[in-house]
Amino acid sequence: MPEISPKAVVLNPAGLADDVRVGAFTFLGPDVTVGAGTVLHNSVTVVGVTSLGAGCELFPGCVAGAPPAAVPEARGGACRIGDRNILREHVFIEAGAGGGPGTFLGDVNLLMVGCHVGHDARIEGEGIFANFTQIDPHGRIEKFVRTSGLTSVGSYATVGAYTFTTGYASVEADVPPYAIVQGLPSHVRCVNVENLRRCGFDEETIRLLKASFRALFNGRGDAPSPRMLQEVLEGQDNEHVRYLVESLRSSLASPTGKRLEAAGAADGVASDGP
Amino acid sequence: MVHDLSVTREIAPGAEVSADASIGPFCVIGPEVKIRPGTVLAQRVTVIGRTVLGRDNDIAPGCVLGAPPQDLKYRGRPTWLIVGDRNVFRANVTAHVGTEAGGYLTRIGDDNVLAGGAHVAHDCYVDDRTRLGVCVMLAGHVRVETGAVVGDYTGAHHFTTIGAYARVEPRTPVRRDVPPYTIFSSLGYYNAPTAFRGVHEQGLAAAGLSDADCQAVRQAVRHLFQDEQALAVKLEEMSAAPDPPQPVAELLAFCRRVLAGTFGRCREAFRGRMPPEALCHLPPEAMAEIEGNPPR
Repeated sequence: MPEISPKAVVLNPAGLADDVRVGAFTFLGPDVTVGAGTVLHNSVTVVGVTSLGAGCELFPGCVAGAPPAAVPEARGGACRIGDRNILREHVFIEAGAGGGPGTFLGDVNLLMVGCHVGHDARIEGEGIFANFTQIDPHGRIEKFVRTSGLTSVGSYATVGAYTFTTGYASVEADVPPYAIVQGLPSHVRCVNVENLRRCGFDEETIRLLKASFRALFNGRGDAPSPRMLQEVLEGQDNEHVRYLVESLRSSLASPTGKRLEAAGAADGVASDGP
Repeated sequence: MVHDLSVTREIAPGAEVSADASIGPFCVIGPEVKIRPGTVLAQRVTVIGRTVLGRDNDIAPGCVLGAPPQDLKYRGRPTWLIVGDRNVFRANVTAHVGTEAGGYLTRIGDDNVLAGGAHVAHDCYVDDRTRLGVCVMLAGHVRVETGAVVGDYTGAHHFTTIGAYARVEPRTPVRRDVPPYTIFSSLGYYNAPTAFRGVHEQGLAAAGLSDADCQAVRQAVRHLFQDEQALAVKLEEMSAAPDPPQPVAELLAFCRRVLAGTFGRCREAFRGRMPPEALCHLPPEAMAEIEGNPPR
């Protein structure tokens, strides 16, 4: 039996796995399901068509699955939260706007106090998001991303895997993987060596990525040319360098610098874009 | 109309809540919390962990005090959040308990005002009479000294110190220590180096210094920081002067500590060590409990 505080309101107790714990004054709506071992502290609100995975922890003041702020009339969009996510105090995750892909949060993310995830945003997993990180509607965060306080990620922008955004960074167009980005609008500063080492990258890959970054980025935020991208690929066959170049190519192919807005982008995302 | 307090509040057995404290509806108080007389909790306030709230604090709706640290190194041992007297916490303020490696204690002193959404992380020391603006983000191990004013949306890096009666302008990334009585700002450009912008006159007034001391501090601050390159040399010159007024001596001592630290942060010295503030302010029962649980 889930351990539900008598002062909580759970409209669909059947949707809760056996060892879920629900604190006082927490409200779980009629279409909410919660996986095994998840702890919802007091004063949490989960509404909408929202599924919470196993082993998550939601701290007081969290709201998940509420209608999007920008389209309050939207109904029925999904909000899917994977396993072992930690949502700290006052984190707000919007539901999808309906008709879109829905808001998706993968596994093993830490969202610190006050983070905001907009509708239909996609966070792939293993991310650490510092206080008040703002991910706008349809933003996409690849795996192993780390953000600093008050980072904002614009709508339809993609933050590449293993990238670190510094405090107050404003990601207005796609940023490549493996990078440290800074500024308003943000641009690439260097390779995120510390994170790559922590994630078990070998020194040879880090050396290749550093050389590629030196060739591709001038530190002033200018986009690399197609010729430079081709040159970086020549003479080596490292999967991470390939992924870096592929990411940059697909971002640069879009006139806005956001690959999710490129013509024919996957899952119909581009069709309901601005 | 009389509310049934047991229904609209969740006060765990074991919590020591003074009969003269006021606990609003939908508040949750954990079993190891102590709340002293005169403190008012508005609605939906959560106080958990080993948290002590002193007298006459005013806590607005949505505040969450004493939640575990966001530091991934925290191993779940007992740690404390101690709040002094007469503080005002506006809506949605969050403050976390300390970590084992950082000295077991987060402390907020007396007469502080924390604006909406302000965040005091693990092992921070906020002294007395400070003003923290909207959504101010103090990272772990930060110290805000007496009378400092921190602008809205300002973030302070781990282990930084904001000196007494200094002012940090809104939206300034604080990456290194801010000396007392100065104004620091990055002029809203997040890439610009955060830099000295002048003497904080209101700070001098709030510190209640004599006119002669004020003048001495003004001169010292201008001399030290208008050309930052040669701080060490200037510090040595000024230290040679006999018998400086007390506030100037404190300013010089602050600068010497910063120069002795790493990355311009004197508190870096306390990485993985118990800071002296923890030894000063941890309650005796906490010391006993820590000694029973030595850090691994």
